[in-house]
Amino acid sequence: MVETSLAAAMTPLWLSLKVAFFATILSAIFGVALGLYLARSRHRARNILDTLCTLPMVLPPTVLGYYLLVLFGSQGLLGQWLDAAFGVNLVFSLKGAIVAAAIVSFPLVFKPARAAFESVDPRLEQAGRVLGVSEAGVIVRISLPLAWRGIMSGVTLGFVRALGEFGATLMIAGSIPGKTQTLSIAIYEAVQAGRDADAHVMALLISCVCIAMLLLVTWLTPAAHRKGEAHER
Amino acid sequence: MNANERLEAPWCDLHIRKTLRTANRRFELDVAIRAQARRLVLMGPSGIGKTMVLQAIAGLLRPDEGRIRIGGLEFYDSVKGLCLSPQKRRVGYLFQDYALLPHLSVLSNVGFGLHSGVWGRMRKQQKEEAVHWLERFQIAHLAQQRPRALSGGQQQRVALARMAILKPRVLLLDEPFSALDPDLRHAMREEVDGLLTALDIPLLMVTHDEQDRIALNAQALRLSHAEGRTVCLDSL
Repeated sequence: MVETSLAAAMTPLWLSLKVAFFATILSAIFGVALGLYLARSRHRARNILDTLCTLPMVLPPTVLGYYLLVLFGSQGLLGQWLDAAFGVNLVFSLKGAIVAAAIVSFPLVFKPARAAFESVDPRLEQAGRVLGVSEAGVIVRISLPLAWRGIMSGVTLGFVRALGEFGATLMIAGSIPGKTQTLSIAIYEAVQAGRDADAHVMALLISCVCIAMLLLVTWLTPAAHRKGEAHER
Repeated sequence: MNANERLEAPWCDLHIRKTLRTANRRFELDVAIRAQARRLVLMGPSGIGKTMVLQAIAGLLRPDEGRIRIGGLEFYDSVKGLCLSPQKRRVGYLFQDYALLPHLSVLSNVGFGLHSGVWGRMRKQQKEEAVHWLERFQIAHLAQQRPRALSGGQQQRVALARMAILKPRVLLLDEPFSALDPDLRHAMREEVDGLLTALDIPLLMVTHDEQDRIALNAQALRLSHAEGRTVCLDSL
């Protein structure tokens, strides 16, 4: 009984992990870049940008999924462009699930990244510049290593969020068993169909993964450290 | 360049203006320095903007207007719209707290500027050069340590070695000796004196201590308040 449930859970678990993995790569690349920009920018609009990019965290997932459908659907601007340029269709596909999960987890990645970059003592970065190291070198050899733990804790949180993503994924990718039916969607379907044993096993499975990830976040979260004192002018 | 030519052309020729405004105060810096003396100390009360002068020369602070020429090279000129990046100025700037990189070993800190790109790995020859400078400052035995594990004097030697290895045009020191105990202070003054002679470069140093000026045989420039702004009194 449990064995068959476990076997049935493997495909959705694998899909969930795949979606979360690629979604995390996407949100990590864009999240770290945006976090770095927001940490360094003195532009007046930077907090508006921050707020806009936080929206996926507070919008109802169905609303987000709806927007994604409008944008990436066959009638949507981006959807038509993607289809014409690359022959890619996001609706009812695993790629759509990945994009949805990436957007949902994005705020969880860029916000800690911004905080981590802001906590790097700017004088260390200045020291690098005075020593002749290029801006790219300063980022790679000073800012990133010093912000690393904060960034990774955000990326791990983003991964967990992507793993559990339900609403927006269902809206754009649907629930096609073996293709777009991730673990959280499969649990919903199992409960609806009265397959309680399957739901039990899958819920336990995803809970274990989430707890392990949270422990990882706790371990990665940097201890509060004193920032450099105000410099004499 | 012989001694006479040096006397004719000031190595430090700057005139900068910078206004900072915060919610409840306004700070105006207006400093002109033309100096032929190869060793200068910048003195004046706390909060008057001595560090800002060093930062402007290093390229870490952009003045509102003016010009900066160091060793005959134009660093900044607001009329021409010229402002060299810190990377191109090649100055040796000693931060007040040394700004050593906490995630790197002493050896990697000293060799940090030998590579300017994203790839920071030292070649064998560069590593030898870094070790040579560590030996020069008697800290070779600390090569694999992290800066955190070092005493104040050792950290300062690392910071000096990190600048010296790049053969800077000028040494800019921001209150280098104030945090050291008297014995160490004496030793570090001699280190800096030896380094200036060895590299044959000029010095501009911020300090509160008249003894620093005497020990390094330097000429004093005093910043003071006049008409609500900071000006340099006895520039040459």
